[in-house]
Amino acid sequence: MRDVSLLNSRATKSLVFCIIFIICSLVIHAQYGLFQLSKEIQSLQGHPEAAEKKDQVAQNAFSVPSETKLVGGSSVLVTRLMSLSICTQGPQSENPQNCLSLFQRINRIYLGSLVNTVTIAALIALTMPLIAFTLASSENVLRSRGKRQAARYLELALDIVPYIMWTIILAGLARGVYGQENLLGLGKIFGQQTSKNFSYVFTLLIQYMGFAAFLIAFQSRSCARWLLELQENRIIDSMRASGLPIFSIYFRLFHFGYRPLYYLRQALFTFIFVLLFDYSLSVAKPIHQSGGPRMLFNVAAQFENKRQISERDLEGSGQQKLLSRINEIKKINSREFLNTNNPDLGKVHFVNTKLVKYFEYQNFGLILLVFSFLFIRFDFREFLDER
Amino acid sequence: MTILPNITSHHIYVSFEASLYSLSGSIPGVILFMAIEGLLIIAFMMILRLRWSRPMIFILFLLCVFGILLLANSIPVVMYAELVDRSLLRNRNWPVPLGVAIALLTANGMLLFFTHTIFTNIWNELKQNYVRASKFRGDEENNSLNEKIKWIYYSQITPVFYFVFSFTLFTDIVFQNEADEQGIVTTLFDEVTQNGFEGENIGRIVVWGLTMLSVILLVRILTSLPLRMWEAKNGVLQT
Repeated sequence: MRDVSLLNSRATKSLVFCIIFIICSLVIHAQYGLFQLSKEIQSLQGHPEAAEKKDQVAQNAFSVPSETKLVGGSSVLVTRLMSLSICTQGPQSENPQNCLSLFQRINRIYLGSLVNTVTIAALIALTMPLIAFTLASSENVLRSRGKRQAARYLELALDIVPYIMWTIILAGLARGVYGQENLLGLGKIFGQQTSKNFSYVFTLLIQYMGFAAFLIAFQSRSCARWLLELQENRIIDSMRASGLPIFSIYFRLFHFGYRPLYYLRQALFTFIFVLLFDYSLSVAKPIHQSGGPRMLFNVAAQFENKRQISERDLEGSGQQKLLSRINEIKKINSREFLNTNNPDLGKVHFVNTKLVKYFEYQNFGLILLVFSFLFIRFDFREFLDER
Repeated sequence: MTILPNITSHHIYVSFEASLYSLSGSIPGVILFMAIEGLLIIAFMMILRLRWSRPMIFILFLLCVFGILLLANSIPVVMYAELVDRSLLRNRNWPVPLGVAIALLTANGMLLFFTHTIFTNIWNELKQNYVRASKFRGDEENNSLNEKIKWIYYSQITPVFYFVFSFTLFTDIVFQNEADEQGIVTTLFDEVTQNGFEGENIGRIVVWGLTMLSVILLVRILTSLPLRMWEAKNGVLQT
């Protein structure tokens, strides 16, 4: 028996070690790649043409001119690459030390959007299991009062609708809220801009709730099954017999039973599901609109969009060979690629591809981290206990 | 034929066709998914026998299965869809429904979620007295678990179908260059996100949604048929 428990502990540790190794490799790979790229772009900025072009550089990383037309000279390349970095005293700053490097800028964008995304996703992930528990409790109350038909209808209403319908309905509602200048009367009290800003955040909350609502049927069913077991064991009846009101009974069941047993697991699963859903939707068909907080997967999707545009430009210029070489990005060194006579379009596409890879590695690492925590903390250990 | 203002039988026909198109991808998806789940259950049951005599093999099996599923399910569905699009649909001309089935296998943690649910249910059932007592009856654990496993397996088919059907949104978007049609989920999603719930759209969205629901419910009857038959046979049918 002692051997088995030792084996269990070693298995868990080796799984944790493997996952930490993979996550660290992903993050280090992403950061190192970005650092190399940043260094090379900084060395390009030292080029004499760079100084002439500084006044043309936009402050916003996303205001890189559209790569729909071909560019000829390397000065345009320098302008484009410089627009990815930002100067703390404005673009006209002569002192390069006042400028943030690409490495710093992209990491700041990543961290800022990560905080926004995690905050909103966590808020929704903590709320949805509560809603599921409320629905399951209502069903249980109806059942215990002999209204089996009504309880069945409530169960069916959640069960028969394809899960994606909740996402679609809430996406439609979010669209209606977006950019409202007098949302819930806020415009009259705090001004139109405040109302607009609030509407941007509110839109995101509704959208994320739509992603999480995909799971509401699963979660509600699992809560309902748990409550039914308690009812069959006469636990709810005994609480009712002790004179507790309905609300108090279900609150206690939640607080002392459901919360320690299932709540955190459901919240974490909702969290990871929302992140994956947002990631997929941002890449496939972004529904985020301009304004509002910068969201992680939306930022990644914007870089991917730029990469696709630069890819089309390169294809249009007949540089198929170069394109296929850039697509094998792992084999290319930033220094060799950016400091040789490669065409400017190729260099722009190379930088875009590198940035997309940075976001892919970082995002994959983030999702794997949360998923692994959920799995090892709650799921994997079930098979190791009581064996 | 006018049902609602500006809603004609053409709208119903369009949504019916789109629903059938979505089903053409999601039904092979469910079959493939359940086949893989079946194989995983068989492997799990074979390994379960060794959990006392060879605990190392049992743990390695769990580590491999869940480790691979964990890694595979941490990648968003749209990336798999793009990979399938590039490598199977464009280069090898595989049929789109098969591409949908393969791309949706790991949609947003689905394979990990359902595999874990099935394994946990089986694991918990092992602690039941009738299973523990099976060796004293000269029977094997696996034989006494057979019916329960069937129940668990059949009860997953309908949720898997709903899951796969919902995620055709992503495969429709990614495979749009390879497919001539568009599924109902994408049609509804586009309509709602582009035009919202305004004016005439509401009628159109409602008609499309109800047509889709009627088609889905018919398939739902089929997907839940094995479960209902098993429950009726064993006298546990819930009404």
